[in-house]
Amino acid sequence: MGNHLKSFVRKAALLLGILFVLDFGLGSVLEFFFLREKQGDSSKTTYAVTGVTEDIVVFGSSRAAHHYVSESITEVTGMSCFNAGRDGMKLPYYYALMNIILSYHTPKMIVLDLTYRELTPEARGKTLVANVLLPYFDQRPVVQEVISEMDPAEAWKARFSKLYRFNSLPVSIIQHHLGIGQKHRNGYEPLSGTMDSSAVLVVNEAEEPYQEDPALVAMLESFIGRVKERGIRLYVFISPTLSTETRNCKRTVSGILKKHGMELYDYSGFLDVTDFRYFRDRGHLNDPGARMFTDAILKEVIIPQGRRKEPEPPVPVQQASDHPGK
Amino acid sequence: PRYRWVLLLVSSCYFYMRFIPVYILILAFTIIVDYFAGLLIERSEGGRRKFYLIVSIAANVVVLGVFKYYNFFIENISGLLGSLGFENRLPYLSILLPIGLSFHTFQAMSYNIEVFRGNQQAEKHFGIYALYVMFYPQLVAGPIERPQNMLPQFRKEFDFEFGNVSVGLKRILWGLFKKVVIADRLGVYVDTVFANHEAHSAVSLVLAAFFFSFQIYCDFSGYSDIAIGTARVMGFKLMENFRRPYMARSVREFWQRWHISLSSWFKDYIYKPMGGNRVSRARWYINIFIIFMLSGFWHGADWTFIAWGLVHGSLYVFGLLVDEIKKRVPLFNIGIGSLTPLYHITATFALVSLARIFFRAPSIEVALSICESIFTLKPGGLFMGNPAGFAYSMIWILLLVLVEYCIEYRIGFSVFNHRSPVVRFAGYALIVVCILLFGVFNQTQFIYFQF
Repeated sequence: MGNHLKSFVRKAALLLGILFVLDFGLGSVLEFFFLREKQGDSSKTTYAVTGVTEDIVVFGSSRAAHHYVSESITEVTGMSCFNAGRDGMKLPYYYALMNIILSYHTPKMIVLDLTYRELTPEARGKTLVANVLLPYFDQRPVVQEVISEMDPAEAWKARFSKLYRFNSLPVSIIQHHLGIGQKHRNGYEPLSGTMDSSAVLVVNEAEEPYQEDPALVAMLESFIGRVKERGIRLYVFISPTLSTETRNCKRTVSGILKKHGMELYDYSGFLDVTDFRYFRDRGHLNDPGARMFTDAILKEVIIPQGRRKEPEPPVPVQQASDHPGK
Repeated sequence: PRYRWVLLLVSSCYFYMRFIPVYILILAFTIIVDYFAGLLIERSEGGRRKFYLIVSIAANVVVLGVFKYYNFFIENISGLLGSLGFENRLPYLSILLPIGLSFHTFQAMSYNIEVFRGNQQAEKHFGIYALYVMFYPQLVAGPIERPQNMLPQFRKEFDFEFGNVSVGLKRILWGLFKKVVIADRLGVYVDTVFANHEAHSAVSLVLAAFFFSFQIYCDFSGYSDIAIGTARVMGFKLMENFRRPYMARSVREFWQRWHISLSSWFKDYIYKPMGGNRVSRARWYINIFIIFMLSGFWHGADWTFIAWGLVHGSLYVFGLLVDEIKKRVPLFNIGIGSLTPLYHITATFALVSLARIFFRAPSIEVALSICESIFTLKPGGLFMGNPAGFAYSMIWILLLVLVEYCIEYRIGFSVFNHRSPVVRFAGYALIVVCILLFGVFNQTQFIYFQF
């Protein structure tokens, strides 16, 4: 038995050694290609984690990604803009990303787009965020902290295995390198096409029960608090939607913002059903719609608010001899 | 080694109590009743033997009935009373199903039935008997073992055997691959389509049914592999629960290859005592329907499972009728040459998958709605969901079919058992890499845990 056991231990050790080398080697290869993707959602997150330098950063879900035109914002404000909105994400993601970005960069302005159901509980919200951020585990120490906060178990798995960080990503890495995937312009992802007119006439949309997660409410408070602490201008919007849900997060969000001397800019009804040609679907504007919306918020909120908040230029002191009357 | 059973029993108790600790009392109750019933059956004669057997079976059936089926019966009685204009005052029970209940009660019942039949000596050692019921690798989802196989193994002298450890670990690895890489990946697509079935076309619904067939196979057989492998590492040999069921050429053959421990339990303890196929043809077919209905009911306290059982019973009987017709009328015995086996395998798989719609759907209404969409060829494109996920799903199914085909027809070579250690180690490493890169780790628990 002694020899058999020794043989088993030797083989097990050899296998573990092979696995360690494979894990590190293949993981490094995947990391190399993943961080160099030029399109797709992950390329935007990569940029956000590794090197945002823009003055304005937009956070939010797919609605943020498709509604805020970075180049229009830059043109009007004179400040560079990056749209970090990402499909399928909610508050835990923007919160995590904000913390990562603020660890190395202080934007001058943050635009946060919220959905009606931003504060409703979601079974796997934090784990999903941890999974999305796993490939960046080694990029910045703050990423590990954020992942641990979101899901400690995922952080441990990532520590043990470099390959695990790229779970389910190999095909998308290949796709994005072959040019298949959503292209973006400084993060803005334009949507083409318009929604079908028949889809517009949906009345009495059945509402799911509405319930707010206290942890998400706390997370939003923390997001706003951190941004204000750094002296960053923050604008919180609800962008246009054709949803008819009456129960939503507006009241809670307005209450939180009011505590910080801010307001919620509710543009959910900016366009109505007659403007369906500006929508790609009930929740997303197409490119013309996004441009119209972006121009509106720039003209009505960001520029006027910006002027109010900019310090007044110093008034030159008039000398007695300068006075025309004397 | 003399007290190995103590360590195993304590481990099994700890394992069981990780779920809902107080439920160990239920297990303790049935173990005590069955242990003493076994001794009394052996010592008694005539009618008393039968009496103690009935007490033992009743204790298990009552526990199963209360925890698993009580609310189902109350709900249906309430519905019936309501339709007759009566008010229902019967209380519902707000209890969780004890984990592995359906499995260990059946395993316990098989013990006393075998003692009664004289095929098994009653176990005098209480600890060994308790371990037989509670042995943790197979406690939660089988295989449902027989006392003749397990009890002698618990008494054997244990010696470390590298062969057992190696075979066991390989089995665990393959089971884990089937569960997290194949089953849970397919589950993402299946859950999406079934959750919103009204929006999907016939093509997507058929694909979801096929995917579910592979999902449940990989989930359940994956668990069985892990259970069998874990036991093997410790030197115990559990029975095989699956034998490449999707290589079956008829529904009858399918049931000889699928969940073998349960189907053999029903065959040995209910079907054969009812007369099996040694009765009139009509009675034989009725027996088949009863067995499948009971099998469906065993899976869950819902009409969908009973319907699933009845669909399988119908397919089984239909298959028997077709065989009978082919025997009597050779004209109907047409084949398509060498493609005949492939045709039979494909047809069997399709029928089993369509029957699974009832197994998977949350209600009879949903199941019928899905069937209607399929049979009326509801138009629409193929839903692919996440393209990468869809691609992975197809790749793994093809791999699984290839591996099972090769094992079934003894083609090619086995990577895990290859002579060359280089090939073997490459195989292990590849499987681990696939688990890390493609495994889905945040899906639900094993499907059969809910039974």
